[in-house]
Amino acid sequence: MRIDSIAVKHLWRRKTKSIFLLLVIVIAVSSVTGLHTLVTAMEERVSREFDETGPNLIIIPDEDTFGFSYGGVTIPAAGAEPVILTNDSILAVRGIHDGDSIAAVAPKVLGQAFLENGEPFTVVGVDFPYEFKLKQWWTYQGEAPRSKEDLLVGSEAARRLGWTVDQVVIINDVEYKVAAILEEQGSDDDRVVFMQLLEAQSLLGKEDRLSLMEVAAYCSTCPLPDIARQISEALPGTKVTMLAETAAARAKIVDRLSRYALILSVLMLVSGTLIILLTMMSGVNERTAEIGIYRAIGFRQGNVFEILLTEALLLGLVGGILGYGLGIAMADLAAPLVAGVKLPIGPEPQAAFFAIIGAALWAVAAGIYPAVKASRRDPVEALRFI
Amino acid sequence: MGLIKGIEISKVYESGGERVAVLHNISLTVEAGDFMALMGPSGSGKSTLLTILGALNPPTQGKLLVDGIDVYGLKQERRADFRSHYLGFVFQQFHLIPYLTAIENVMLPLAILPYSHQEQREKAQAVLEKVGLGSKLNRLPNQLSGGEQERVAIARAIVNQPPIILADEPTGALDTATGQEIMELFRELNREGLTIVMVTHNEETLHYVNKTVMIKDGVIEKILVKDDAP
Repeated sequence: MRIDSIAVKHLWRRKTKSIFLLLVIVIAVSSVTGLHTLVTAMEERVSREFDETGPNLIIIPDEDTFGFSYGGVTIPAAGAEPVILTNDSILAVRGIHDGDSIAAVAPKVLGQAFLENGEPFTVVGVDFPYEFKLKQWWTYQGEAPRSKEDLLVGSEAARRLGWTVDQVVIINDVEYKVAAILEEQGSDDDRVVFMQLLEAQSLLGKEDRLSLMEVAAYCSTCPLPDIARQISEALPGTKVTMLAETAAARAKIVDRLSRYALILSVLMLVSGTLIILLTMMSGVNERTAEIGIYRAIGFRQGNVFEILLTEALLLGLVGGILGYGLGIAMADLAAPLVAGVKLPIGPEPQAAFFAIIGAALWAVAAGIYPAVKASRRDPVEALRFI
Repeated sequence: MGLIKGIEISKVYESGGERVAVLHNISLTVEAGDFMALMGPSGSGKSTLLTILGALNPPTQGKLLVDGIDVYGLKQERRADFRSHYLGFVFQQFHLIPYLTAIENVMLPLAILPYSHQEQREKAQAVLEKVGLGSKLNRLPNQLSGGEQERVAIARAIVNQPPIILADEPTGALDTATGQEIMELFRELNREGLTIVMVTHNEETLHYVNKTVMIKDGVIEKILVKDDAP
């Protein structure tokens, strides 16, 4: 028998108290991990919106009717949109005064198509080269679409429709090939099927019509509101939304959530520390005679200290492992509720390492005071000799 | 020479600003191989003397020499090492660790010594067999009778082969028959060479000892020596 096996046996044979302490650690670690994971995933999403898309503009017909939602913007329902945006609108955008500041114009047509079995899905017609330029973070399985029959399918849409890479699918009696499937993006792109713009216009019966245009502009050379104004003037009847504002609003929410998460984490850790400390202190009091025996039979103060800290360390390690797993699961479940989208959340070795080691160190830190008190207890008093 | 030599030991406790003298200038010699009883009424100071002899309770004045070692001249952690090598304790309430089995309780003093798990187990099993508990190695204390718990406590006290056993009212919590069995066990250990100092209220246990130290009001009243203990 070694000192650490005394600690293990105590935890194992005093299950109720051990489980209670373990629960405290698991709840604290899972809350902190879950909140941190969620906030980090949301921050990553926001920073990606800023970093990779740059300040974007979205141009849509100025219409209030609800239809499809894409990129945080609602597109009027199929058939209801007036013919305001056409293929020529692309040239109009390029031709504005600050046209040189425009990096890319990505036109889109949106609509609903149906499979042979009548199952509906959203089709987004795009100009693939410009789309890829705009969405440089896109990763996918398969080959980039080259011909007009090639489809790029969002991950969720592929799952729902049961499509795989290289599969030939029939839409409106026309054969198309699933050229590639997007990796999960945590955005609307996951739920749609992308196809070549002209092909989509023809499929949807919207020849020469556009549902929206996404514009990437170099913000350093121009004030974005100026470009938005110039586009509005060049395309009367359209609404120009600055996506940067959307992203900024989302960033503000994330920022607020991150502060809330920090406060909650600190509260959880402080209250957890107090619970561990008080529980261990009461444990030390209950184990007074036991500590007296250890000291009487020759255990040094350091040995008693080691027994109690080993118990705290073991609880911290196990609590850290369970808490981290639970935290990730909670973050994954909570993401759609908090962020409104499914975020790519999963265990990460580095984060897991820090969570588990952090939990162990935390439990040890909370256990130091009770352990010191226990080890310094007068053995004579402890054995109630007097 | 004496294995244990207490020289002019006094102990004063301070409680609520009041000084209470428990022991006054006690000098006592315990020879190797003695089976000594410390006897006296409650509050006479006999248990305090036992804790002082047990290197647990520094005297206010005086000196304790064990095997020539000035015990209270040692630093606290060295004193713990001293207890580990020289002393075995048997307590009135047995004081077994409730979540450890009989054999684990007996292995406890060996946990801080350089023995392998196998060696610890063999030694613990051997002493448990010696005290008649070879068939109950894996019982928890609450699965043992009072007498059996006392035997485990004795096994724990002798497992690291200390030269001295200190016992505080070892029969105090046992019925007469079980108490006699325990005293027989002590006598056997004493005959094997162990020095035993025991605090007792029970006059029947005096039958087993060769020296009885009568303490009253913190001083030694008299010392009775039997030339030949039965």
